[in-house]
Amino acid sequence: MRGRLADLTFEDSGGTVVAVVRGEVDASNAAELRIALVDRLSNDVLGLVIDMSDMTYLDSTGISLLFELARGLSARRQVLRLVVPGASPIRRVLDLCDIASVAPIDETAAEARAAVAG
Amino acid sequence: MESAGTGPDEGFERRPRQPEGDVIIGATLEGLRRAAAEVEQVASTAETLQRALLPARLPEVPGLAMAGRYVAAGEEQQVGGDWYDVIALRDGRAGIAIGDVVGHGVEAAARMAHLQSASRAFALEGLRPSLLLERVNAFAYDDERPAMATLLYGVVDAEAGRFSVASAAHPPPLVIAPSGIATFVESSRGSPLGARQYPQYDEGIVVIEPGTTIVTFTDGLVETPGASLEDGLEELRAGIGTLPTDPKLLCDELLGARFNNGPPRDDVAILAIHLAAEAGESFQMTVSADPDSLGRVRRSIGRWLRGVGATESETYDILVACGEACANAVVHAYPVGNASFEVSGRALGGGVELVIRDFGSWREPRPGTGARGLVLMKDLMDEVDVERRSPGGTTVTMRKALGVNG
Repeated sequence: MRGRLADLTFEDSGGTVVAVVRGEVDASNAAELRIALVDRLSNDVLGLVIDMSDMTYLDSTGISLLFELARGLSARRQVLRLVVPGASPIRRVLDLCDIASVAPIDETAAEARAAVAG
Repeated sequence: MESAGTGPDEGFERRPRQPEGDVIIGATLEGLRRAAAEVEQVASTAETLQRALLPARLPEVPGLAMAGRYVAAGEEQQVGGDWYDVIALRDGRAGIAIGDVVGHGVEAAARMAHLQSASRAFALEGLRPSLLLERVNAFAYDDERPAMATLLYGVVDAEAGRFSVASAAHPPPLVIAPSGIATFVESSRGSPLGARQYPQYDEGIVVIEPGTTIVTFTDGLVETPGASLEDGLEELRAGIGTLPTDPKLLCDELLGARFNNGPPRDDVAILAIHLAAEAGESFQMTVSADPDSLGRVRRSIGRWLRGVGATESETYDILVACGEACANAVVHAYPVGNASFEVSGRALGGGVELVIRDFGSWREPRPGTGARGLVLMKDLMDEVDVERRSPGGTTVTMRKALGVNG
C-alpha cells in the first residue's frame, strides 16, 4: 500500500478552475499533481485557483511545480492565484520562496475567484 | 511496524457435522453423502469468501502497531459476516472499522463485502466517524436486500493524540492506558445499519497518549451463554490490562484465554492498535531511497520532535528542512536501483541536531528544485552543513535551537 498524501478535487466556477488540494505534497506526488492540474486547463479558462487551505506540507518540489504552473499560465495570459490563509503551516515556506511574485496569495477561495474573474 | 492478516485460528479443529437422526430415516447412504458434501461445499465457500474479504495485510501507519484476528464459529453453517479493516488516511491518521453483519453463510459474507467496500470508500473521503456511519447506513438501507449490521468506525490520530469513534449498535472499543487501566469509550450506541432511514450517531472522543492500546472486537468475544453482554464486557475490561501491549500477542492471548476449550459459538473478530511509546533523546532510522518513503520519514521525525518539546511551528520548519535533505538523498543521490539512506536525530542542550546520510554520488543541485531546497534548508534551520564524502555519499547535518521564538 503506497499511502495517500494528498487529495485533489475540482470545483467549477464559471471560467475559473478551482483546484482544492488537501494534505501533503512532496517529491512522491508533485508530478502526478502537475499532470492532473494541467489536464484541466483548457485555453478558454480565465485562470486557475489552487485552494491550499487544508494543505499540511509542501516542499521545494511542490513549490517548483507552482512556479512552473505560473510560468505556463502567464504565457497563455491566464492567471494563477493561491489560497493560503495566514495561519497555514505552509505559508512561511511559500513566503520564503516569494511565490507571491508569480502567484498572488489570497486568504479565501471567494476572494481568489473574484480576483480572477476581475 | 507490525501488521498481521487473518489470525491463528488454524488451531481450532472443526467438528464433523452430525446428521440429525430423523433425517437419516429412509435416506440412502449415497444420498446422504451427497447432501453432506453440499453442506460442506456451501460452508467452505462462505468461509473462503469471508477470509478473502479480510485484509491480507494491514497498512503500515508510522507510530502504530496493529494486528487483526478472525476466528470462525465452531459450527460450519455459522460462518458469518464479521470483518475488520484499517484504512491509511491523510496526515498519518488511520481509520479503523469493525463490523458484524446479521446472518450467516455466503449471503452474510456477500453483504459484508458491500458494507466493507462502502465503509472503505467513505473513509477515504476523510469523513468523520459519525458522518461515515450515516452514509454507510444510507447505503445499507437502500440496498436491494437491506443488510442489518453493526459497525464501529474510529479515527486514530497519533500525532494529535486523539481517537474519535462512533458506533452503530456495535460494542464499544476498549482503550488501555499505558498504566494498564482500561476503559470503554462510551458514546451512545446508535441504531444498527439498515434499521432506520435517518439515524443519528454520536461521536466519542478520547485523548490517547503514546503507549496506549485500542482494542475493538465483535460480540462473539464477550458472549457467554447464560451471562449478559454487559457482564462479558466488564470481564474483558477488568482482565485486559495485564495482557501484553504488542497487538499480535495481545490478540493471541485474548483468544487463547477465551477459547481454550474449543472454538467460539459465534464468529469473533478482533482488531488491536498500539501507539508507539515516546521516543527518547535520540533516534535513528534507515529508509529506502524511494519518494514514497518521504511521508513516513516526516511522520517519524515529527513524532520525535514533539516528544523532545518542539512547538508546532518549529516542528514544521524542521520537517521541511529534513524533507529537503531526504528528497535530495532520494532524488539526486541514487539515479537507479534500490538503496537506502539514514536519518538520525539527537537533542542538544536547548535544540536538536538532525543528520541525513546517504551513500550515493552527490550531484550538484539542479537549478530550480534542488537549489531552492538548499536555500529552504538554510532559511529554516540555524546551521546547515553539507559534507560530500569520498568515495561516495553525502552527509547533511542541521541544527536548530528550540524555544527561541516561542
